[in-house]
Amino acid sequence: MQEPTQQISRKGLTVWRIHGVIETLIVWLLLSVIGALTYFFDWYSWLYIVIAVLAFLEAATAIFIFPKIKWHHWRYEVREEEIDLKYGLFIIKRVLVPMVRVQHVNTTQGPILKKYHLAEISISTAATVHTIPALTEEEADVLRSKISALARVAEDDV
Amino acid sequence: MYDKQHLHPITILLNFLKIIKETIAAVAVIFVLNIKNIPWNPMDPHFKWTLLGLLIAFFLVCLLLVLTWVFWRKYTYWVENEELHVEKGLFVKKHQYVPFERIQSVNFKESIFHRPFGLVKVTIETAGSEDSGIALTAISREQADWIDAATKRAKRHETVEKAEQEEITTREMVYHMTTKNLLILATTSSGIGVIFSAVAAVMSQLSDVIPYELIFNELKDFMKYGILIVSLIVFTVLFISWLISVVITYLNHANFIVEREQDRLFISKGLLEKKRVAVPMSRIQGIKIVETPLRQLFGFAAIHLESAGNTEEDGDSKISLVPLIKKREALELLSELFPTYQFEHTLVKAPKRAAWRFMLFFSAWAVIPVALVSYFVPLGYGLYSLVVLPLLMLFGYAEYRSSGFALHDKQLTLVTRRFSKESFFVMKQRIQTMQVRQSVLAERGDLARLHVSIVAGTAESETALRFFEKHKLMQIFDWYRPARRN
Repeated sequence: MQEPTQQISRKGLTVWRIHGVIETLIVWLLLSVIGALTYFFDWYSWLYIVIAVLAFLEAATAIFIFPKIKWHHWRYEVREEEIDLKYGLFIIKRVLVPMVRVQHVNTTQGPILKKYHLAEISISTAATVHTIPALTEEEADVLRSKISALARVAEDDV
Repeated sequence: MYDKQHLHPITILLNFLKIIKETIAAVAVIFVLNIKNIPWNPMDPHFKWTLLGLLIAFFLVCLLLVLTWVFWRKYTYWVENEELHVEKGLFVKKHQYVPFERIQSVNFKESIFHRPFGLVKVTIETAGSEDSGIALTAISREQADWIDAATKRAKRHETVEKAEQEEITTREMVYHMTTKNLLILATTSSGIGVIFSAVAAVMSQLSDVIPYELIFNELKDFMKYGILIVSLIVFTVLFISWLISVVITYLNHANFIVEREQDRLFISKGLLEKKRVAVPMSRIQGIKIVETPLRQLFGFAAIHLESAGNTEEDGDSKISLVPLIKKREALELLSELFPTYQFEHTLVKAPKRAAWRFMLFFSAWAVIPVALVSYFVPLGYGLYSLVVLPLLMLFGYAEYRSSGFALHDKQLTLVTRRFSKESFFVMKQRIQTMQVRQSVLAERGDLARLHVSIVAGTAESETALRFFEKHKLMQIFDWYRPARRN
């Protein structure tokens, strides 16, 4: 059975890394609070090592490793009758959304995505919402109108 | 019905009681915990604080009464242009209107407050996902029937020619619960746990009133065995909670009847509080047969329906079609009600090598808590928690034995078990999306999971089947794939 083939924009990886940096800064802030508490209240000194290791792991995974893996795994394909998605970090999810089930499609763009001229598409069915995270603005627009056009003509085969 | 009307004034009382009921638990807990610290003696120098507290409580209750009165005063409903209109709100006026032909179902409920006045609470479900349903807290029986009839008329309006022929509609009873089954349902109801803890809490607070110690001491002299007393108390509490549970379940499910009228099912139940739920068959998304371990042992099952629609209240999308029935009869009833479905299949089972995965998956979650308990609870008593692990593995094994799926033309059947065994029947066109999940660490073709999403109420309901070979799950995936139009 055919697997989805389209990849998301390479710039999406950069955006995820920026998200990773923001997340890392927040985690570092929390860790330094714990570090400060350890210093002032004379908690166990091995806590410093734990904090340092956690800080390093957080940065390495959130900025470098996880975005890379996620980006590599992301595949999508919009066919006439269905939307086929494949993504995930450690657990690969393969999602099939038949066109007949699509109720509406939206594109959204946060400030970081906007800076990189990217947008994300969210596809809503009566029960679920699925997002294709980082597409170039043109791709996103084309895809959005394509999906909504296909969803309008799609008919139940039952 | 065509001029603006208010709900019956009993609404004020009902809304008032509803808010009291929702907050009483929290208030009661605070009150009971502090009861010993509150100075009740007027001579006590701190008595003024008690007085102040009571005053505030009194003021709040009055405020609540006024607010519920305002809500009632500002709530009007009427019918205009074949639409039901509702206007409510004090500062922000909200105007809702539902065309009769868009009404999915009209549900009735009569509590003990409604019945002396011949009133009904009407809940109106709509199809859309944007506008919510309407709940008319207390209106007269005649108006309720009028709305029901108007809805039916509006539906028929769409197909005038057809309607002419089927003018006389008859309601046939398709199921009624026998007293025997009702009693079995009551005695095996799972509400026991909740009520048990409630009774235990009350009994522990009653220690001021009931001279437990006195009774204990006498009993102690009599038996000299502490353990016996403890088990006696536990037994008493259990027995009382069981009795309460039996009574509650009995009252709620007495006169349980399912009727069919054309393409709608009507489920009525209740002795003191009567309820009637209407289910349009076309809105049913999936059917579930649920067997709890205890009931499964005696060959009993329950039938739930998942339905799409919009209720203003508690969003309970699971409809209990039959709360307790012999599985054999359940299958017969379902085949009669839903002839397009197939309820008996040979299932594709999970592979043998998955058995360990089921068992370990269940118990893996418990390892850390059990380890902590074993380590920290003194005198080695914590080690008793180790019993949990083999027990969970047993559950895992039970899940392995139960799990399975079957494809039959346009229908998918999934049998899963977490605690209860659930057989889920769904038609292809009701499935909103399908997912297959597999860990990156798994070898190609190794075990994976399947997630099936359908609409329930206005939200999503997901059923998952785990630890099956990927290629078998991909068969389902391929089956779900829309046919290519040429």
